[in-house]
Formats: sequence, C-alpha cells, structure tokens
Amino acid sequence: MTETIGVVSHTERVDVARPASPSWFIAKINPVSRFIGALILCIPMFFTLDIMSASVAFGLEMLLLWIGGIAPWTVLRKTWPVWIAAAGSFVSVALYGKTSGVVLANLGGFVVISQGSLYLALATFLRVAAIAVPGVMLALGLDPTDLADGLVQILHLPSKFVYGGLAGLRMFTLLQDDWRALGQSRRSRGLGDGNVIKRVLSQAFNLLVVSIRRGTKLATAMEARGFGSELPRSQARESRLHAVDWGFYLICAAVPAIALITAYCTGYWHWAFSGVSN
Amino acid sequence: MTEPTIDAVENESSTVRKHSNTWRVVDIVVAAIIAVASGVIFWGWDIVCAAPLAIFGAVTPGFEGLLNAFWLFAGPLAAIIVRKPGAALFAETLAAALELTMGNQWGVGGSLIVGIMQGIGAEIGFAIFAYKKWNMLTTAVSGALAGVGCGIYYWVMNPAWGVLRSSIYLCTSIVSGVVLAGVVMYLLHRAIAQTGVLDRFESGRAQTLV
Repeated sequence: MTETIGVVSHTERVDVARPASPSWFIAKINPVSRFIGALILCIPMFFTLDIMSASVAFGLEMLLLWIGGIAPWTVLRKTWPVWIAAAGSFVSVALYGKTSGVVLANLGGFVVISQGSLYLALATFLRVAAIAVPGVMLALGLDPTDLADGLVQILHLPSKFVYGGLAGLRMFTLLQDDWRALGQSRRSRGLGDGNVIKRVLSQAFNLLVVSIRRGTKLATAMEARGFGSELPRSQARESRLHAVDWGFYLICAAVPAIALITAYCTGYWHWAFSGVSN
Repeated sequence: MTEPTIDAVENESSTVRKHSNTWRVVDIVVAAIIAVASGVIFWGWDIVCAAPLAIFGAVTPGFEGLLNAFWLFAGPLAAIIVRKPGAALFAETLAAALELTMGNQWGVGGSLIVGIMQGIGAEIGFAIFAYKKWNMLTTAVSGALAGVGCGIYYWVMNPAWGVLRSSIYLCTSIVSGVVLAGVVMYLLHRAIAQTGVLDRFESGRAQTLV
C-alpha cells in the first residue's frame, strides 16, 4: 500500500505567525517596510539642529508607539543605551561645540562652555533620541528570514547574496553551543585556567576557525542542492506589501514633515551643516 | 610550439592561480559568517563601550575615535579572506544589520547607515588597487578608509562639533582603523590561513605555496 502525502500550494499554506515586535501594529508590517520606514523617519531629521523639530518628532513618536501598543515607560526601558549615548553627546557638544552668545566658562581656550553651545547640546540630545528611539523600536524582534524574503521579493536584491547571507546569519544560533564546547574541550586539556583575556582571545580565534570550516561545508551542501545556479528560484514564503505598509509609510513621512514644518514656522529652524538660522 | 618542460610546469603550479572576481557560494557563505561573528563583536562592543565612549567623547576632544576600530574590522577582514569585489561592503553591512537586530543604542542610523558608509570606505581601499593587491598595505588602507566613513557619519550627526573636534575625531578614527582593522586583521587572516580552513580560497592557497 502506498502512502499519500498531500501537498498544498504555497499560496494556501498557513504559517503560524511569530511575534515579530512588541507592538501589534509594527508586527503587521513587512520587515522591509520597517527598515525603509526607519530611514524615512530619521534622514530628514539630519537637516536641522534645533530643539523644536527634535522634541516635536520625539513626542509624536512616543505617542504613536503608545497607540501601537508600547507604553512610553516600556520604550524608555528598552532603549536605555540610547540615553547614555544622548547624554554623552550632550556633554561633548556643551564642551566642544561652536561657541556663541555669553561665555559661561572658558577652561584653557579649547573647552568653552557658552550659551550657544549649551543650546546646541540640548538640541543634539533631543535629536539623538528622536532619531535613535524609533530605529531601535522598529528593529526590535525583526525576523531575519522574513527580512530576507522581503529583500528578494520586494526589493529584488540578488537572491544568491541574500540567502547566502541568511545562511551565514543562521549559524549565529550555533555560536553559543560552539563556545561552550570549545571551552569544555580546552578545560579537559588543562587550558581553562590562567589569564582570562588570553583565554578569551584564543578561544574566539578557535570559534572563528570552526565557523569558517562549517561555512565551507555548508556552501558545498548548498551547491549540491542547486543553490547558486542561474535558473530562476521559486519562493517558499510570500512577502508582499499590504495597505498597512503604505499607511505606515505615510506615518513615517508625516512625523518628520510635521516636526520640520513646526520648526520652520516657529523660527527655530537651524541648518545643521551651515549653521544658518532659518 | 614546444612542449613545456617539467620545470615550467612546476613553476606554473607553484604560482598562485589567476585571480577571479566571480563570487562562488562558498565566498558568500564565508563572508556572511565572518560578518556574523563580527556583528556579535560589534554588538558586544556597543554594550561594553556605551559608558567609556560617552565619557571619552564628553571629556576629551574627539579621542573616542580610537575606540572605533571594533566596528570597522568586518569589511577588511572579509575582503582579505574571500578576495572578491564587494566583499567588504557586504560583510560590513551584514554585520551592522545583525548588530542592529540584536538591539543597540544607535538604531538604524548609527548602526546600519554608518555600517554601510564604513563598508563603502573599506571597499574603496581595495578598489583603488583594482582588486589586484591583497597585502598588509591594502588592508591598512581599507581600514583607514573605513575609519573615514565612520568619521564622516559622525560629522554629519554632530554638526554642532567645532572643526577641530571633528578633525580630531576623524584622525583618531583613521588611526584605530589602520591599526586594528588593517594591520591586526591582516595578521589574523594569516593565522587563519595557517590552520588550513581557507584551502578553498586564494588567501589560503597563497599561504601554503609560499
């Protein structure tokens, strides 16, 4: 008796949805859109350096994330390193920024704290937050396989490179096990103790060599299954843009637009590179 | 036509085979693996460096650029190992993308865009030699230009920095690129080649035949 195996068309296949983001809205968006959206959000912000545009953008982003299901305190907790970076740039601009206005402190001619540099420092602080926070939140939980599907099917990048890259990326999950195995084998040979830094460096080198060795084997296996051929590939999973993606693009374009227009109309606009106001 | 003598045949086989610029599957996968390993280090460095970088950046006029090399090395390392046009850009971008998806303080701008700029810099380092020279000098040039890419990004990000501050940052970034992303990566590639794992690559074959 022969057994029958039913095969459904890939268009009818139901994939179990994995949680791709803490936000229900972001989870619905195609991963490619999440990347492009983050770029649309942050690139216009590079043009001006002022308090108004940065704080309007940041406020809108926090509000939108809240509507999207991530409360502001969760956002702050998940983006804690952003705030360290922002604080660092605040101090650096305050001490070394362009001097203008009343000089508050002059420490040896090079370090000059002035009203102007303090203002620029505050603007930089807010701008780092406004640019980095949405980028971090959009990238959170992104699935590399979904992203690869989108890059090939929507952006039409060469599939050989995208899936080859994904294959390498998938090795990532093995690194931890490899590291443990290497550590144990070194210990069993009496190499575990001694200088920690030396041990870590030498073990990291071993890990790299093991990974490359596995990679060359993987490449042979992939070639054996027809990967890398010039013939057209069929897709196991579909990746398409839906209405929600276009809505997301609109939101992403609206946030910097509102922020920049507000800054321009209220007279806060300050060209970032030439330093000319309005 | 004379038959090649045994001497000539031996000479031919002992020289490195002609360089090919076509990507094979093994090139892509190994470049990706180097990128993944580097991406993990990028991310680890993000965390280790968050406080020192902020303090360095705040207190010294731009010397935090010296810490940049740990984000610059993926491109030069992948390029010197697989030796294909685009390898540096591919690896640096992928490493930055991994760093980004693991989550860090800089988001899309400070991880991915800066990664692409560093990758372009590292790529130019080998492109100006028409992808024909693969030695310590070209790797160092590649590391230096990766540092330039990083310096330019931070100049764009911090327009409020004075000219001197930006220049010092650019210089320290280049120095760290030359030392760690260039010279050290070249030596690392030699060490990897000696283990024999690169026998499918020109970089590994050149080692065994010398």
